[in-house]
Amino acid sequence: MTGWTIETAGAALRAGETSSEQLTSDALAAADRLDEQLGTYLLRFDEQALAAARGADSELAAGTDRGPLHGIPFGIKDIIATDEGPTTAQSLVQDPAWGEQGDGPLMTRLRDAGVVVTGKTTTMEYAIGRPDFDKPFPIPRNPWNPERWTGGSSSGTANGVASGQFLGGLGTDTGGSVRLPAAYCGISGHKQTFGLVPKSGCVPLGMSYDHIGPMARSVWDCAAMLTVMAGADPSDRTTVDRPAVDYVARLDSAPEALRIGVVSNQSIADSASEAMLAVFDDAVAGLATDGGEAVPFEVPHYDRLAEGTFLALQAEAFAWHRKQLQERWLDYGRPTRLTIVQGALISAGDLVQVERVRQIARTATLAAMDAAGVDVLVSPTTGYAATPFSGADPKAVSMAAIHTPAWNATGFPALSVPMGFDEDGLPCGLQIIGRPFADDLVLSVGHRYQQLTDWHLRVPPLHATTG
Amino acid sequence: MADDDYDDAKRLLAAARIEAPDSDLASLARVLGVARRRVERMYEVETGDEVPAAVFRADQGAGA
Repeated sequence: MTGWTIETAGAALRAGETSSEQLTSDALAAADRLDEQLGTYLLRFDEQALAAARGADSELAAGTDRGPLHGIPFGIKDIIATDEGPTTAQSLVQDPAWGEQGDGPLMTRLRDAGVVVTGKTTTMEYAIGRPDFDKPFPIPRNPWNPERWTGGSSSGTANGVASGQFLGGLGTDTGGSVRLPAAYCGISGHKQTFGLVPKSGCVPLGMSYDHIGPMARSVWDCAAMLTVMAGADPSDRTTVDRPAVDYVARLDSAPEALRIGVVSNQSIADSASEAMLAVFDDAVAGLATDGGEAVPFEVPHYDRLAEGTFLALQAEAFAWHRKQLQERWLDYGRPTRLTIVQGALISAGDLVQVERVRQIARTATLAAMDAAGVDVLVSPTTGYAATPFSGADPKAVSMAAIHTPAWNATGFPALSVPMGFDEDGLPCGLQIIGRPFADDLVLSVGHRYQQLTDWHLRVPPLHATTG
Repeated sequence: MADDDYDDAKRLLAAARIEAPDSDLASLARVLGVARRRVERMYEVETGDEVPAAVFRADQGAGA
């Protein structure tokens, strides 16, 4: 799987240079070698995957081409139900019967597009908390340095893509859980506009903040995935009926004279390392070339949006977990139960105020973007690169998810793409944010950046092609 | 950590009918102050008559 993306693997498939069975066999062989060290999978579906791959090859041979995802090996975060096996949410608490529903509408769309599911990937318990060494689940590690964390909570999908164990996958993002591990692991990850992709068939965390997003090496790959994933479904009341968009066809749609708002709130400078800010400055300068312009942009109520996201998602999570917390407190991991139960610490009135601030800040941010005439906003995805499991700078840990949650609260699309490396050789992520349903523009800007750079094609030391 | 915070954490969990060991209550007591400060900052935003972001819609799922 040397340097392959979904785009290049698909081209090789159609040129007869490889087969889905070969891609899948290579993916499983990579997992044989790397999974134990990296903690990518909770469950593998080797036989089902190989059977699906052979089916994809037969279809292509017979002239049936389901599109860019046809025959491509995928990892699925284990809070999303699939036909092949149970959904654990990486928890001892989760009722195995929950996953018996099998594929939800999103998985059905991906399946119809020909993806080959190789297995269910690691997360943090219920997509919240911290890596928990006390529970009997794998600890996901970073392929750039296994003593470092992948970020969470879509940890296994991120490190699986980065290490070449599959070419694309699904993550979920309630406060940054697609973008954060994408940044830490040096891949691309997109949190689409809230309501664009149905979430039924996914264990909820914060129902009004949750998103299911594509994760892959390149923006082209994410665009191909989103084209399949997007669209309303009656099983998810939060989805919005919008005209279908071919996001790959729109990848060159960003204006030449791109006007970029550089998020300049003081908390950016206060919560990022010097190395991260230097890499970010270079990335912005690169994006602003060829007629573009970068201007400082103050996001209204930026810090309140971030704080409000955590207050509200804890409250929403508490509502879902309350009964199980009463009955099985100690079966939850300590980081998980202590995070979710914080939803019981604020009042109902306080939660309403959080949701009023959310509305005010969303409206004010849109107005400010219009007033400034900016096409997109950019910020570092994280303030620091991947943190070590032990001995981490407490500031780097506490600030890990400081730049992502505002966009869960507003529901705006936000993409993370690799933008370089820090002084320890760890990937850094550039976050590109757009107006609601301007996912095509956001992806187009990210794609343009990846035409100018090759950070997204760099291969970590622990990869299918090395060693 | 103030004793009041510990007692408040214990009371809030008891109201939710959750029994937690002392070590967990102590941890929650430590974050209670942070949560309260976050909540207070939410009231510093001028929200006027604005409605919450999640608003009930009577027509949702009602068909055409």
